[in-house]
Amino acid sequence: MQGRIFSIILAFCVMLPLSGVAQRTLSILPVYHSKILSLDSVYTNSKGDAIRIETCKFYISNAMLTESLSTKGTHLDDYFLIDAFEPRTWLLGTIDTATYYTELSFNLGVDSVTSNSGALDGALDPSLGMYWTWQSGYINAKLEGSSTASNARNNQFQFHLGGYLSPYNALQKVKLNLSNKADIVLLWDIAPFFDKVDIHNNNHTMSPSANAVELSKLLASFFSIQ
Amino acid sequence: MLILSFFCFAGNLLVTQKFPSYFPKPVYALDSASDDQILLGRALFYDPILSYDNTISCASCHSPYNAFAHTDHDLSHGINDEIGTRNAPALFNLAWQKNLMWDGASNHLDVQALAPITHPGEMNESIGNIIEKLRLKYGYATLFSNAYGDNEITSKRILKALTAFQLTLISANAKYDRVQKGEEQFTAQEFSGYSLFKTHCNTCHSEPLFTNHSFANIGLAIDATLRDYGRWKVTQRPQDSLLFKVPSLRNLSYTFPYMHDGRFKKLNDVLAHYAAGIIRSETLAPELQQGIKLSSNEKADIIAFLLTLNDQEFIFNPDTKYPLGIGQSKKE
Repeated sequence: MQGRIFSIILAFCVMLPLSGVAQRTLSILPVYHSKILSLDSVYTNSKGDAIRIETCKFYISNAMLTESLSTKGTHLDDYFLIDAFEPRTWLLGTIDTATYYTELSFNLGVDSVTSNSGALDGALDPSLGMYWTWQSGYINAKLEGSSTASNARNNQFQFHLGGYLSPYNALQKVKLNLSNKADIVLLWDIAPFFDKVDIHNNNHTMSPSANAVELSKLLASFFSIQ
Repeated sequence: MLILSFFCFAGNLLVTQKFPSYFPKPVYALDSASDDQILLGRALFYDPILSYDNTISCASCHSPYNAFAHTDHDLSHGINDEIGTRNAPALFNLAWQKNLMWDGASNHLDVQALAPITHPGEMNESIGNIIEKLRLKYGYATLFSNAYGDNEITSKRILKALTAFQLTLISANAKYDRVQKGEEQFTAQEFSGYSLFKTHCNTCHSEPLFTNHSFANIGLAIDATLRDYGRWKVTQRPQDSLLFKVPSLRNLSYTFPYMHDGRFKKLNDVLAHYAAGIIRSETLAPELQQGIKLSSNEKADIIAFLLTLNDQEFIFNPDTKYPLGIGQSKKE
C-alpha cells in the first residue's frame, strides 16, 4: 500500500516541468484507509456496510506555509477545487526547496467574502457544479455515492456541504505541523467518515445547516501530513 | 504599444449611468461596464436561448412594458407552462440592491441569474449548455468579441454582461422625481398623500428608492398551497420566519399584482390589508402592530401620491427594449 502511494508521488514528480532545478511540491492525496480513492472500489466500513463513492470534491483555499523562527510565510493565492478522482487536481503548487516550513494552514471551503463577490472564474466558476443556484454560496465539499447502510432511494447518500452565513458557516480552518524539507503530501483519509456518520439516518444534506457544519468539521479532521 | 493601448481604451468607452443627486450611493459600480458589455447583456436578456427548450427569456417574466415585472400573473410561469411559487419582481434600480429575490437568497446581481436559469420550473437549463448553444448561434461571437476582446464564451462573461444590462435599468424620472428636482409640483391631493405616506409608509418604503431593502413580515396570511416562509428558508433563523423583501413602490401601476405571491390585484386591496387584514404573529413588523388605519379620503390621497411614482420614461426607454437584429438571426 505504501508502495502505491509512493508511485503516485513519483507520478507527480514526472508531471512537473523538467526545468533541471529540484522541485518540491505541495499536494493532496485522497485515500480510503491507505489506498488511493477509486471510483471502481466498493469499500467496507467498520460496521460492515458496503460503500461506493461516486463524487468527491472539495475546495482548498487560503493555504499558508509558515517558516520556522519567523512570522514570515508563503501564501498560495489560488482557490483549488480538488476532485478525488482527478489526479491532476491534487497538486497545489511547488514550494521553495531551501525553506524549512513548520506549519501548513488552509481553509476547507470558500470564505464568506469570496462567496459574496459575484461571478468568478477558474476553480470558482459557478458552472462547475460547486455553486448553489437557488441560494447564493459555494458548496465547500460534495460527497455522493451509495451505501447498503442508506435507507434513501437507490441506497444513495448525497452531501453538499456549504454555507457562509452565521450560525451555519461551514468553512473549516485546518492547521498541521510540518517537520522536514521534503515534499509536502497532505493525506486526506475519508474512511472514518463512514465509520462515524450514521448513513442510515443521515444520508443527505443539500443546504446550510447544523448538520452541514458538523459534517464539514468531520471532513476537516481527516487531513494529516504523510 | 502606446497606440495599441489607446485603441483599447477608445474601444471600451465607459458608460456612466445617470441617477439624481438625492439617490444614495449604489452598491454596484455603475461605470465598470462598457457599452458593448451592456449590449451583450441586453441580447442575452431577451434571448430564449437561456432556457432548455429555447422558449423562455428573462423578459418573458420581466417584461419591459411592466417595469420588468410579470403583470397579470400572480405566480410566474416557466417552460412547459410550469407554474412557479412567487410573483416575478419588477427590475429597476438594482444597483442599490445587494440581496436579490423575495427572500434575499441571491447575494449578488451576477449570480442571481443562475437561479431562474437552472430552476426546473423556470428555464431548466445549465450554464454549460447555454455556452454550447451560444457558440453555435449567429452573432454572439461578435457580441462577445466586442464586449470582452475575444470571442471566448464563459459563465463569468455571460453573468457579468447580464448584470451590466440590468444595472442600466434605472427608474428616476417619475413625477415624484421631477418634483424633487423642482421641475413640477404635486397637486393638493398628491401633497396630502405624500404627507400621509411619510407618516405611515416611509420607514420601510423609504424615499427616494421607496424601499429600505430590508425584509419584513407585514402580516399576510400563509397561503396553504405555497407554505412560503420567505427569508427563514435562507437564514434558518426563527426570527426571519415570514419575512419577505420590502419592494420598491416605484412603477406600481405597471407591476400588479402585488406581494410575493401576487395575492392582491389592486392598490386598494393592499391598503385594505394594512388597515384591517394584518395577521398577528411573533415576527410581525413592529410598525404594523396597530395596522394602518386610514379614512377613505386618506386612502385616495395616498394612492394619488403613489401614482406619482410611475416612471413613463423608464417604461418606454428604447435603450432597454428588445434589441432588434442583435444575435437574433439563426444561421446554424
